[in-house]
Amino acid sequence: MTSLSFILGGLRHYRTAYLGVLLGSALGAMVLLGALFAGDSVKSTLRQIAEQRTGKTTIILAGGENFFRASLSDSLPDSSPILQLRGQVDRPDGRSTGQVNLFGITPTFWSFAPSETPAPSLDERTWAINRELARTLDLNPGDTITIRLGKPGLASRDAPLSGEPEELITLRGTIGEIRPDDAMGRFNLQASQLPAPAIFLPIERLAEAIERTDRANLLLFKSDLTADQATAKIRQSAQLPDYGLSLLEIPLSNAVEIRTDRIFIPTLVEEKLRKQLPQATPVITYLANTIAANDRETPYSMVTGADPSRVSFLPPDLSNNQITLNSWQAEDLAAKPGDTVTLKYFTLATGNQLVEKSSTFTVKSIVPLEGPAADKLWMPEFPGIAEADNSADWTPGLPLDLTRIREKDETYWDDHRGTPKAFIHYDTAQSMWSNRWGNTTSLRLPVANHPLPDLEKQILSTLTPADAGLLVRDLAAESRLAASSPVDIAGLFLSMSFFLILSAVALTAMLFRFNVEQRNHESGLLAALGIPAKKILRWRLAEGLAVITLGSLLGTILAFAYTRALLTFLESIWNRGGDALFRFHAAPTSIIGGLLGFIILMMLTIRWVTRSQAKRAPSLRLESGIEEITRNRKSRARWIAPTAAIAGFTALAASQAIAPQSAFFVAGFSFLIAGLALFRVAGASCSSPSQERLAPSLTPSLLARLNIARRPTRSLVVVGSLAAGLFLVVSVTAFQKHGGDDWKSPKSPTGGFAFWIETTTPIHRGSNSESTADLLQLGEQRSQLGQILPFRIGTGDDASCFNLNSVTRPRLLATDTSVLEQRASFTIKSTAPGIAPSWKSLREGKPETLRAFIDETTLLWVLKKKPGDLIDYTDEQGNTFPVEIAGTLTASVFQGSFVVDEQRYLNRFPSAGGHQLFLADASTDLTKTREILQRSLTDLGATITTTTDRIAAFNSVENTYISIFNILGGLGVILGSAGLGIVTARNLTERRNEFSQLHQLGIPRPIVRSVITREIRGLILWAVGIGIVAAIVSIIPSLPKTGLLTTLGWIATLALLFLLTATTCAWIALRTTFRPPHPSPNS
Amino acid sequence: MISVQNLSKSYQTPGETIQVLTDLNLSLDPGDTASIVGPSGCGKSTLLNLLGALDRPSSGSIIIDGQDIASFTDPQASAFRNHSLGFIFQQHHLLPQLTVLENVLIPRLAGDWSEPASTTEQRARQLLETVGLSHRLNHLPWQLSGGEKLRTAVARALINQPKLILADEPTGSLDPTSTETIADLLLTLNQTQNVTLIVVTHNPDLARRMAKPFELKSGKLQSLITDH
Repeated sequence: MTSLSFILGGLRHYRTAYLGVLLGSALGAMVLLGALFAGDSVKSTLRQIAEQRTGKTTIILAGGENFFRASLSDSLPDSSPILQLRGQVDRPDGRSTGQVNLFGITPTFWSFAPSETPAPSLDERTWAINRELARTLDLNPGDTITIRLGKPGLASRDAPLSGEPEELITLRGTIGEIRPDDAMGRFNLQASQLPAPAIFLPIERLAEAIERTDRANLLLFKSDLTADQATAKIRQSAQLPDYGLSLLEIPLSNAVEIRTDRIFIPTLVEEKLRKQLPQATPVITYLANTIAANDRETPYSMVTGADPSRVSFLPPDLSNNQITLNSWQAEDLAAKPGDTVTLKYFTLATGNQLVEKSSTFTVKSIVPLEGPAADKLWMPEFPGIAEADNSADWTPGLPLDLTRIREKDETYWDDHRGTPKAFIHYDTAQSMWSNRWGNTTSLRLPVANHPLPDLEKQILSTLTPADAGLLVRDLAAESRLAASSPVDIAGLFLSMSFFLILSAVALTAMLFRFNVEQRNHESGLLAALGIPAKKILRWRLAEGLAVITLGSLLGTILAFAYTRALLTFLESIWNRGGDALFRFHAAPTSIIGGLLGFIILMMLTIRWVTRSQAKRAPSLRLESGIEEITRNRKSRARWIAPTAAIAGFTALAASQAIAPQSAFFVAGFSFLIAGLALFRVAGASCSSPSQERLAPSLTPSLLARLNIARRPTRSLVVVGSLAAGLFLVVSVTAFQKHGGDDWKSPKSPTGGFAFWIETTTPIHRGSNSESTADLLQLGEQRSQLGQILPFRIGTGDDASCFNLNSVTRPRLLATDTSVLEQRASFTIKSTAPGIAPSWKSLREGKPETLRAFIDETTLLWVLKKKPGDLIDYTDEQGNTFPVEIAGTLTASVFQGSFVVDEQRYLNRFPSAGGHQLFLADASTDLTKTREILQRSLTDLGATITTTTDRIAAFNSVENTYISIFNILGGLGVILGSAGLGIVTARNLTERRNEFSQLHQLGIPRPIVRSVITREIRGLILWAVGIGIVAAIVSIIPSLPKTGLLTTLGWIATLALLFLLTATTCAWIALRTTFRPPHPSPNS
Repeated sequence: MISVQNLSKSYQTPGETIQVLTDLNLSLDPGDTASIVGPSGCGKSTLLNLLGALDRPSSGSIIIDGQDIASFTDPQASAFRNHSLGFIFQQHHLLPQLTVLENVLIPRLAGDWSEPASTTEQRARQLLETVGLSHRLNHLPWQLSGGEKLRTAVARALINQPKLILADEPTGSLDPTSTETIADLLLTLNQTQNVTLIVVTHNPDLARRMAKPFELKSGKLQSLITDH
């Protein structure tokens, strides 16, 4: 006989006793590995999605609203140009969907697909769509669809003189193919696991539709370049149109002019060019609503600001408050030198409103309308003006009263077009008309010194793509980062399963210990026969290792099924229909690491419980038999209880400094330990001989308490498992999100707004402008809504709980924060030191910093940052600037986004598009109003959600998490209850002789049963007490203010369910084990 | 062979200190047989545990074959029991998962036996034949009668060819005939193998069959042989 055969013999003989250990190990391993596999599956899915989303793309040149030549790609190998716009797609039967990505592409685009698939055959009317769009609108190849999109402007539609803001374009085509996800169907720059609906059509078709021939705003690279290398290559190939610039000869002035197609030359570009070209003279030409003098006025005239020393016909000493009129204008106003002239013009004020201002000048001189003074080229190609046949046809995007235009004005337009009627000093013009887009409309240079080819070279050598708002990004790295560190699902489930794993380990160890106790005689005998204690311990551990390994392997197999169940839960959170999002994946490292980790954990635990038995003298073990050999731990438990309680309270007190969820866990764990230590002290006090014990009143109650204390470890494990399960269930239930009834309150998560409206087509001009009071062009239906607060949607990704990817820069939402301040909307929960809890604070602080408020949930769970922290963003010119987390909002509709002040945002993003998000008041029937709005806003591709629905959607994600917690907690309770049942059965079996003796002593059976019942009840009540008290104390700081009664009701219900479960398990054990005593105690 | 000097053993309980043995002395020569009787709780088993290095004395010395076993470390005590001592318990303590032959071979599991396994096994078979169990070699303990279990335990106690056998109530649960058989067996072994035998018993007949009967009284041993 060898040690191995001895061990195998032990395993065979005690296989029934080891079954519990095997099952316990299987459960623990299943839960642990399931959590790891769930994390692997999510990671693997996100990696795969990231691959499909970006294909072979490495670097991108992203222009957004700034366009460059599509043919730029011709000189850049391994690149493909895209014209990316957004639109609404309609089916012939009227069904439609907004926020659809429109990708104008070339055939090279398909070579970026991660898998080799044949390119679809697209033409002007035959397009490809992706599966998401096909699913959303139930489309098939051969179906006809209509795209509606807003025509992008040359410049930001917010800029003065940028043209008519709204121009909807309609395109009709047929679906040629539905592109699979791995064949670029999922192409999307946004890091999200959810597919975005998309249409792919030839770039020429889309560019032609928006009248931007050979234009693109996105360039993909698949070559292995760094961002810097790509930038260098782009600079080598770029031409002036790629920067939105052009050169124009001005023959009458013998000059050449640098112009922009964005109305105003961006400030950075102007600064760089003027530094490189010191002879360049800035010119600004602007529309004056009125030029008035001598009680006469001329409507809508161009006025130019220029450096008088550089313009031949202007008096060199033209000062800042003087004006030179051309002869036509002087005649129209009957003005002569020395007269006072007033100019009226629009400027942009806060909230993007157009405000008419006026300035007064003294006439310095009058120039004849001839030569350079009569040059039509002073006026840039203002959209809506330059191409108009008549003044009355102007559509400059300004609220003009064209009825003011007289016959003589039309004649002037016919003869001289936009020739300025007046000239002022450039400095004055700049102070009047400069804005966030720039200070100048052109730069003039003497042509003699600057031959055009040389000038172009000089300009190109000066500028970088970022100067023109064309940003080079390492998309591959970004998507890798987003997918590689997503929401830590493994960590989340591990933390959720923590108490369950702990219970499984403890119960399994207890069952193992039963086995050891049962074999105390054997161990004692082996020791008596001279087998060293260490050897006996090794044998026990070897048996344990075999059983635990087998159980863990079984658990690994079960984990596959368990993970699939978890993934089904996750699908309900993050998938919005269609194909299954998550694919099961178990990384070898998780399988091996998890398995080994669990086995080691179990082995350490059973070593601990076995070693404490093995330390006893052999004689004691021979005598004790199956009795638990205990040491008096009362003194140790006495200091553990208060220490753990203090640790718990400390964690709660520090919950603001450390993460609240960590504080909750530390506090909960500490209170559980404190409760269990208290239980141990109570048991030890009860069982130790004392004066009380000498008292003659041995009652069934005392006997029950003594019996609980008789085997303190098993009692402790049972109470601990039950309490941990109950703690988890009760505490997470308290985090259930309720509410939504108080949506009208400004302090509620809705901010008092009724609707969250997102439009596909950006809307321009602020809501407070007189001309744009009906911002959403609702017409008669405008009365359905109260105040409408518009937001610009800026850079960044959605960091709400709907996005599984790791988001480091949440989306920026820019709005007029003074409106929120006036309404006192939303609850500002906390702010960084030195920052007042007010919306006003977002308009304060260092000018280079953009302050932001963010939903507390996002800050806590996604960003893992705190108020006062800074996050770097890249502005329109590619400069890095910090966004300061000024404070947090209690749960709000803004989850996943930074809310910033619009004015400060526009300083960083002057070319930002219009508003695409609106919060709106409504007091009438929301369902009806929503239907009316949906109909009215169809053209804008609007998605209208009630704010309560939005909050409910966020809550449902959190509540689903809580459901998972509850299920795991419930499993813990069941496990604990099973433990209670096992312990009850075990105790009753071991005490059969005791019951026989009691019977022989004439103790009636009901009394014996009463003692047993009291023992069980004692264990359950201790568990209820510890679990509920630990839970309630831990969650006090986080208890929701709304729905408190519902929460308390839930807790009471759960406590009752718990009592029922535990009692049932114990009752079953009692019924099956407690038999009528045998007549003889020796039997 | 055995020299016990001023042996004391006390136990600390939460309420008091219980003095079990007090300045106990005992001297036995090789091949001696001794019995110890006394009322329950007088410390007989405690004395046996101390003699078998299963427990440690509070004071005093236990010299066996020139070695003070009271000063042994745990591994030394294990080695001592494994090589020099045979233990027979009232409850036999046979391992239920092992056959009769395997139960006898348990001491070999300590792993440091120099003789070949086949030699030990051969001896085990001989011992089992000696105790009349050669037909039960592959039986499991639950298939044996009480007397057979005890005889198996006797064979196990002899497998290491001990100089000293300690028997704790070896016949406590046996009928008179089986008791007689076991007593004969033990005394035969004592004579044939010159094994020193110490038997703790309540059975006066068995006690009397030992050459040196003692009574444990007030923590001390008193010889039951009166000098004439």
